[in-house]
Amino acid sequence: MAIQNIICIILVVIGIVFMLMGSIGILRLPDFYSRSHATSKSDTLGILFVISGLVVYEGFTLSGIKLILIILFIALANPIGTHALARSALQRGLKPFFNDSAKKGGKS
Amino acid sequence: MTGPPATNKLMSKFSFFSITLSFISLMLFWIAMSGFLDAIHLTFGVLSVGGVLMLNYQLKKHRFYTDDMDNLDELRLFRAAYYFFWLIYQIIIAGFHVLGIILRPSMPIEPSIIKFRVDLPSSHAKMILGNSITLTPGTLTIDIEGDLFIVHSLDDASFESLKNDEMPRQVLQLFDKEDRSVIRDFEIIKSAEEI
Repeated sequence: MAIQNIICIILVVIGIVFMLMGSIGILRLPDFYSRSHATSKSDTLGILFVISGLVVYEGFTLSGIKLILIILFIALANPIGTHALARSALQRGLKPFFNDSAKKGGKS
Repeated sequence: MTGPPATNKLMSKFSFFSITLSFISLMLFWIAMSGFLDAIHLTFGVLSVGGVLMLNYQLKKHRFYTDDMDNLDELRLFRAAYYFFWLIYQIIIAGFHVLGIILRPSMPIEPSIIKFRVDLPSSHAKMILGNSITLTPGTLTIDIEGDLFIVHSLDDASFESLKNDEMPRQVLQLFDKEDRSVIRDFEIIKSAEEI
């Protein structure tokens, strides 16, 4: 039981670190596309870690199976949502930020 | 795709096997969600699953792209299990890489747009590749037009597994035994004028 708790705590803490990194990334990164890297991917990874920690805590019960299903659905839905956002942004003509445009001082 | 093959494939979406498979999987999902196995709950389950199948009928009838189909006969299941764990490993590695980039005070990002063409057998394979690219931190599929992929990448190390053809090859292995190079016309764009 103790080992189970320790693994659970480690996984949840890793997940929280990734979610914190997602929040810091939103503030630090320059434009829409790089920000969507931070929000969507790091958050997905964070949620996956937190929920797998809960799965370890819960053990192989009915709730554990439900949590695994949640992981599966998040892993399927999140890339599609991100892709839809980025795709419509590019189609509406939002230019990505590049390092050379920053040097020239142009609008990104 | 025109004529008989299309109708055949459309029929195969509504074959007895396909509908039975959807029914069984939805029923298992119901049981996992409810957790009760008595007669009343199972009856409600059968009714709900029937309703879901009826609602899904229009969705399944619609063909979103030419080789739209439901069966996964070509998928190699053991390979798929291997690919799943390989992908999780890649996601975690790339996640720590992006963590390092964002937390470093100088934040050494180098955003770039990558364009490449793939040679994959089906739309399913392209879908799996696109979702895997998006799930891996540091790379983001923006658009797929035919066999042209447009990917946004946070820095140069992020698209390394695409450049050396590692991830596309793994996706090809899911459907095909032979090992060949998948991507071509690899192109890296780093300035706003070239878009």
